[in-house]
Amino acid sequence: MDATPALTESMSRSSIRRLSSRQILWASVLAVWVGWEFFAAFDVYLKDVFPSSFFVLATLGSFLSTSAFYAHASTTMLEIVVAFLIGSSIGVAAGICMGAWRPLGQAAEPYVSALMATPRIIWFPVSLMIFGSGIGSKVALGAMGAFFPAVLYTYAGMLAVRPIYKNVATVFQISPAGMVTKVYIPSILRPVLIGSQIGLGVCITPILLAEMKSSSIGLGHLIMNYYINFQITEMYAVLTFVFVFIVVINFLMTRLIRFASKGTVLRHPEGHTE
Amino acid sequence: MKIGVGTFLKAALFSPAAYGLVTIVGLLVLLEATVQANLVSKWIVPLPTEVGSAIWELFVSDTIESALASTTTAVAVCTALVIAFGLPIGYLLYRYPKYGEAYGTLLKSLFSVPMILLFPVFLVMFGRNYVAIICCAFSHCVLPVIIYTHEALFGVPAVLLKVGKTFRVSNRDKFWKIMLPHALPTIFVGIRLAMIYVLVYIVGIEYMISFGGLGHLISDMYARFDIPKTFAAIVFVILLSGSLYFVMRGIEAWMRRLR
Repeated sequence: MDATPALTESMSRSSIRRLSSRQILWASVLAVWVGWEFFAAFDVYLKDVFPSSFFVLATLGSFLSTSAFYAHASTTMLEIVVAFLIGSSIGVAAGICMGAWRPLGQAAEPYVSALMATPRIIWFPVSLMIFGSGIGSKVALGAMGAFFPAVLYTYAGMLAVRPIYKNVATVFQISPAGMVTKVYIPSILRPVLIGSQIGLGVCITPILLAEMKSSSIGLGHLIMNYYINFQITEMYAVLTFVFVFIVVINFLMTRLIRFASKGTVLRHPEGHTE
Repeated sequence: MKIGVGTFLKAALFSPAAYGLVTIVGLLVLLEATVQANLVSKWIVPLPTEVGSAIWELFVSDTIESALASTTTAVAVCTALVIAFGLPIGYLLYRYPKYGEAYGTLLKSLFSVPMILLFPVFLVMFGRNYVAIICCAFSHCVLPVIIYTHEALFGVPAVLLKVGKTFRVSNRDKFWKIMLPHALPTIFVGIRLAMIYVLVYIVGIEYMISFGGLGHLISDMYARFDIPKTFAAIVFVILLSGSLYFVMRGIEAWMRRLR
């Protein structure tokens, strides 16, 4: 008589074992989503803190059909693009200088690495004092975020340029310009792009935090405004937009790195790569 | 090989890092001269000497000590939680490879998401207190510990495990005597990353909500428009995160040498 529950248990265990890792992942995501909807439907914990995902998506849809939302989003995008361009270009230039002149690199690297570990947002008061409360202060903060990964990855890339390539270029009497375009740039392209990808991620966060702290426009301002007015569904809608944007940007950067790396992989006549 | 104290001091004095320090001091002297000459307004950048005396004032008034105590306590609690949860979860993901494969990519993707933006959600759930700050920091900082523990155990060379099998070591000995010593430096990379992120999150949220330790101090001093003290508090955060970074880097290098 006791065999039926034991048999059921062993069958369910074996069916779990048969699940592939992808199925486990999707099952877990589904379980989290169902749990969220359960919390939303029955107000299990703190009413309104867990709004239904359908409401959040519907709110996001309504936002996307208003011009006011685009004004906020475009301001944030503008800040991100300008900050990223300024921070990463200065970072790459500094990284090249540090790599080209080894004593400078050895002297600066520990301090640059230590500064990278500090929270960027603490510089916001300084940025506000210098650039005011407009987009300038947010751009400066974001540029600082993009600078550090760019400089460190470019420096690492410069150190990793193999001497044999430089020696071969010297033997073939390649001009300094040729040295840069044919040896250095292909060698450091991948680390520069990886540093830029990380820098982009690092530059978005302080910009949004700065907008949350002191701004009258931008997605960060919207998030904080909805939080203050306890419009939690609207706050989640903006957060969803921000997270999707970050995921898309990361995906595009990864694709770009893969595409750019294709050209930099050196192929031997025997077929193996290095 | 024995190295004398004189040789060590000479090496330290002429090291690239020492040159870096001298450059920083030189830049501060240049900044002092520039501000004294009114080329830069004192209301934007204070004199480095004023910042120095502001640091002393903060020390004398016990302000910095209480702020430092609040922040370091929160960092210590959050780091302990991160390690207590991260290490076992990382081990379980290694122990059950199918789950490790399933969640590995998801955890790495989640690590690139700036969870700090969710701090308003944690404030709604727990109120404006350290529980909310620590929970928000924990939600992101536990990820590197899990990811690196999983990868470290997964990366133990098969040849070492086979040698253990040849000597018929028990599962317990295999873990403590073969796997852990090999995996420890990589696990420590995860802990180091987590500690740095914990500090960034805690000081960042303290600043954002004007609550607690050093982050609140910066926000408070700026709200009073006390520029030298604002800079003094920023210098303290830099010193704290810099010292944490150098200590952790030193321990990591020591562990790699041990292996």
